[in-house]
Amino acid sequence: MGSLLIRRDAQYWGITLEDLARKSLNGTRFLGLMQEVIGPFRTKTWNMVDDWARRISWTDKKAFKTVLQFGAFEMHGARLYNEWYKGTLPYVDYTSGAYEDCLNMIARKAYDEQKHGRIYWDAVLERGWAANRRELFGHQYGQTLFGIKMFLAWLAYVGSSHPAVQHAGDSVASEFQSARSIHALGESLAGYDPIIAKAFLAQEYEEMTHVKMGEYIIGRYATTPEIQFQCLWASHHNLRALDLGLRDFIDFVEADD
Amino acid sequence: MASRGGNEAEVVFQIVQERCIACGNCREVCPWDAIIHTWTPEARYRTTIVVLEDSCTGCGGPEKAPCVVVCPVPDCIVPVERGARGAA
Repeated sequence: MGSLLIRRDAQYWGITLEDLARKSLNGTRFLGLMQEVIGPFRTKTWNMVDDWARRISWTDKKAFKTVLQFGAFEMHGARLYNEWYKGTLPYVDYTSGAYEDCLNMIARKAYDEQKHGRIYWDAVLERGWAANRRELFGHQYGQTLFGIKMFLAWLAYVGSSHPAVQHAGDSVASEFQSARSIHALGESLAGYDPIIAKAFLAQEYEEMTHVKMGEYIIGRYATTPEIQFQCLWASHHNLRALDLGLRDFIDFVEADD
Repeated sequence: MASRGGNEAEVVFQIVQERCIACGNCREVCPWDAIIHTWTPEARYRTTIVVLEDSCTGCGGPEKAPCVVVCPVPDCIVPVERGARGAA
């Protein structure tokens, strides 16, 4: 159940399985260690988005592309978290209550992401850029980019692993970036298009809630060196995939097509 | 009224923000995509549902309108005259 094919002699963020076994950390202390090691990489990626959001000169087309891509991304997220729900179910012990909280949090997360998707696309309707939602589903700018697809494939893959690993591979890594990127884009768009900007800024709080969910689950359930090592593996691949996806996204918005 | 795409309805719907629980049922059933999920500072929930007045056709009154039929909260979606938004 949930065993991942990771080489035992591998190292992620410079940490090996033996290091973790030697340290014998509880979940909370491991969370602290993980946040410390992934911090510089998180900063690098969010600086890239922050810089881009600061220097971009918005046009209607760029704003349209941005909001449509984010909408499609969140809709796919909702679908994937529903798969995560199935990945979490086998761990749930209804007699002791273990992992029930993970299940509830996944349900909330899936609902939130679906809601975010519709807020983005409804902002397009409010703005008058489309007459109905059917147009948006089929629109060429609403189709998922290749880099984002790789990231989504990663999310689908990590969904079958241990709940703490799921959240290490998404909530505390890319959701953190997501909240940060949404804030940067919302602030940047506020001066150009308040309707689109509010669609971004309205979601920052909930994205940070997802980060907190992940922190809670890792703190409670990442208690063995094997699971902790898988968490490091997941956060490493998650941030790498996200970096590629965001670069693809920025190129797409800036492209003059 | 060219901007309304031939939509000449004089009675449209409005969502009473104090009652709305932001379930989104009305949004899903609206045949005109006239109901959207958005954010307003005065909403009881942080995100809320609003009716786009230009797109709403009234759907033949509160008895027939799908949004009113599916709304779980009594007197949450109310008919108002076009242009009289905010009166409810």
